[in-house]
Amino acid sequence: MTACCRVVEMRVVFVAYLLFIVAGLAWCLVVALVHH
Amino acid sequence: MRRFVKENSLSLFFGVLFLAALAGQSVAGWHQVNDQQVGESHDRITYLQYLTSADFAVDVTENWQSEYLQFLLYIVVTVWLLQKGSPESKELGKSGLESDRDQGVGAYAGDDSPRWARAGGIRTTLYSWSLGLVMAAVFLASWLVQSIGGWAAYNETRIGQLRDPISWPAYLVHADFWARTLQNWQSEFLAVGSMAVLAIYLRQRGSPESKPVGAAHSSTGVEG
Repeated sequence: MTACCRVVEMRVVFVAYLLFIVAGLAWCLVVALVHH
Repeated sequence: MRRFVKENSLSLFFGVLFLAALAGQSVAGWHQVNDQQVGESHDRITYLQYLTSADFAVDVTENWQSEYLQFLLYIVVTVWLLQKGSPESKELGKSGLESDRDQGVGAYAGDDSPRWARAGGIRTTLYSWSLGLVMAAVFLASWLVQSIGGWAAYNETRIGQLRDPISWPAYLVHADFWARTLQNWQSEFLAVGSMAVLAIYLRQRGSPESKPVGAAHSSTGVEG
């Protein structure tokens, strides 16, 4: 396994966590705005 | 695959726990709301209706904002504030932003340093604060969404009681908003303070959050 692939793996978990955060906030924001 | 799991086990473990706990919260919250609905002689709601309710949104975001506030404060105040004997503190005498040499930025950056650590100027300043800035952005966004979701949920309750809904600015100074906010903050502040203080005298063998088992109680900023 090359060092390049390991860097990509770290990016995968980094981006996955950012997506969790953004998707969760976006879902809750849309839901909250629809209900207000 | 096995190597990938091993080298990323910490983030995978918490990612799976997060999704499982969120799923559990959504199911338990749905049953809780339906229990209230039945108690008030209202129709039950579907699971999808609960997932798209203001109740679910505010319950999720009120916890998110407090967690991100906790880590934001921990990341930023530990730049300046110290705790003698704690592995969570920097060494005594290292309080502050430290020199470029200590931080390996600008002229002191290495060949494998991030590009923006080497670049100098505004890019290095921004990158030097990037973790705190992102945690602050997530905290503020979560708190904002909590306020909007809490406002909607609270007004739904008021309308059900045949009372006039209140405005968003009025909700921001309302007891419901601050009770939700502060009940989360108090627990986070106690937990994070406890971690810093209990680790002075207590140990967890092998944990980077603890000092080595044999480290002196007075040794500060040493990780196991």
